[in-house]
Amino acid sequence: MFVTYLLRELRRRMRQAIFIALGLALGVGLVITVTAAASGVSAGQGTVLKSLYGVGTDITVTKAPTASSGGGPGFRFGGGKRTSVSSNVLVGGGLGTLKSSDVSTVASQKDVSAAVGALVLNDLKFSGSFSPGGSGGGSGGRSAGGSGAFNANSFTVTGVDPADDSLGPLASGTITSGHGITSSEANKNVAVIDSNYAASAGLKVGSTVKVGSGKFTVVGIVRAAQGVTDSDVYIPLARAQALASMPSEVNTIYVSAASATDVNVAASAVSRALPGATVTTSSDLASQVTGSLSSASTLASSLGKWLAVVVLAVAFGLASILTVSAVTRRVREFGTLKAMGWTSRRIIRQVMGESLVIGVVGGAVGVAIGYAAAAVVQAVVPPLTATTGTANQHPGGLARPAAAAAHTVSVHLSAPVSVSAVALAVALAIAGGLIAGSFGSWRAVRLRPAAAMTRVV
Amino acid sequence: MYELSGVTKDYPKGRSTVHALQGVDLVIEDGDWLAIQGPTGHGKSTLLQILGGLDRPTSGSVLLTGRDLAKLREKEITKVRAISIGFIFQTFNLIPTLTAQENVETALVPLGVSPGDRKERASQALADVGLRQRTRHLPSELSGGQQQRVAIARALVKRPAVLLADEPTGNLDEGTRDEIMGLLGRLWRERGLTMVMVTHDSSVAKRAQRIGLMRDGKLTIRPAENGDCSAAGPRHALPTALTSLD
Repeated sequence: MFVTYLLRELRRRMRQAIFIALGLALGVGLVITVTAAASGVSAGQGTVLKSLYGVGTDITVTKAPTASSGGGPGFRFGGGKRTSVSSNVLVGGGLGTLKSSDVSTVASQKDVSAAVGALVLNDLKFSGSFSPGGSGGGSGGRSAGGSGAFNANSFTVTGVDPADDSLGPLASGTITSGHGITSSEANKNVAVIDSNYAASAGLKVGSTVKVGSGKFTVVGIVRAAQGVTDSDVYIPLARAQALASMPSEVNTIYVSAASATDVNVAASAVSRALPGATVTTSSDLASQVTGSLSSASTLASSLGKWLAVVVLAVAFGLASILTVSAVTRRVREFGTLKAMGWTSRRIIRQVMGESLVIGVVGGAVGVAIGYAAAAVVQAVVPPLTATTGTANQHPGGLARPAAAAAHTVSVHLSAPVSVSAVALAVALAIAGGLIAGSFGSWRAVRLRPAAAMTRVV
Repeated sequence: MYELSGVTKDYPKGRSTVHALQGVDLVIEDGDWLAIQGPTGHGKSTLLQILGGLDRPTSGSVLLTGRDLAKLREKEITKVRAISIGFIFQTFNLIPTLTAQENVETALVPLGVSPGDRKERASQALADVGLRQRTRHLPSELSGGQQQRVAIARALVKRPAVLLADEPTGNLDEGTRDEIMGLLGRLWRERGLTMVMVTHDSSVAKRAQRIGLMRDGKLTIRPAENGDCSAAGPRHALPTALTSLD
């Protein structure tokens, strides 16, 4: 009788039931879509941070350049007859330097599981010729009179520690040809080339590339993580230090925390161990991220969340009002049932059952709407960009912006619907049904059985 | 069966109070058929509601086989209604979404009767009122007289001791009225029911054994002139043990 009565009653007020179910479905679908979009944005941010940091990196340690370490390379030209010049130098990438021993200091800190150092450099090649005239030198070389034609080329070079390839600038890339730099090659003139740079420079495994004053054999080609612009050439750290005349120096330390919850603790420990260094965690970097990905994150977490809450609240409210209204219209019916000996509890069960069915149907439809909307979001949203940091131009120099100073990453937004999101949404729909049923039941319980004898005038 | 002593019922109405019943004393024996007449608004339906435990008196006692309905808790009164009291209403009060058979079954649901038994008893009850061919019809597919027959079947399927009828022919035409009253009279005789009927129709009231006149909340009783005073068949005693319903 319970099921028969329930289904017949829902069929009688089919339009109202559909209206309530659709309201709940809309709210539930919105919750799923917003959750999926937020999850996708969060995954996108994770991709951005991973590509900026490298896989496994939780913290980076750098140092701001000091006033005396500014300026670009100096080029001196002699006077007299027309002169041809060519110079190939390795210079620091716009960052201050840390000692190699600082890497060990960092690695020994509590809650730090690993640390590796890297030296980010720019290889500058300057060539050309000039006619006699005044000469100058030093930073920003001046000449008075005469004429010249010059070419400048540069590419980024990062010296990496082959002892730990799970951490550091190469960790997020994929070796597509050859191999990475091994521990046995720590002091050899070997190089791994970024795939884009290799294509533009016509390099492959076995090729020779000039870095500073050294010639290096290409042993591997690496494809950077999605949208990342990183170094063009990777060589062993020891060789980079020697070529750049920066013995026992690094300018970036990549740190892995013992666990995700220890990141801030580890960062604090590192800051205390290296006062004066800039210690950046992934959350610090996340707060610097700008671009459409950042906007999407704000949209999903703020506007999207509140929109879902408002729609759900309206749906719950409407469902409750309509359920109470339906119960009020059945005054004589429930009064008659009470007169026949139906208990209030049995009548409440009937009302709640009707509302619950509407809630479940609303939840099911809402899940379908959520999945469809998430798929549409995933299909139509254009790739989002994320930019962090600013360009760090070496004053007066020819240095390209340091690899770690500014990054723009393009991310294709996904909108994955998780089981937990579906479960939450269905629970909300059922809760909506139960809330509406509670209001209706409250109204039904207050009905006097004598209402069965209400006169029809 | 019933023993009412000094029953009053007051309703607040704005700043004043409506005295719907004023000191009603009444004894109804087992198997009696009492019709209550009177102008509208003088307390007839209020008295019926109190007899059926649908409402409580403001003061006085309402003894049904020795138990004071005025003092029972809601759960206990609900049990009494479920087992012992059948109701028939002026507007039939059938559940519009249930068939005739299902409407009759609703009276057996609180008694914990199994689905199979419910169907069988409901089917027989409809046959008793001449609606064997209409069990699967919805109320909207039945005439007024047929709907009232379904309501009668619903009221009697649980074999109550008491049948309370509130204007059972109020919404019926003359011919159908006679049909329904004929049916009720037959069932009263066959089953030894105790029947209390509120009606404004004198031709209906005349069929009862006694007629009560409600005026200004006061009741006076007189025997019916042409009433059916002979109750053939055994008198139906109210079961003293009330079974558990939930």
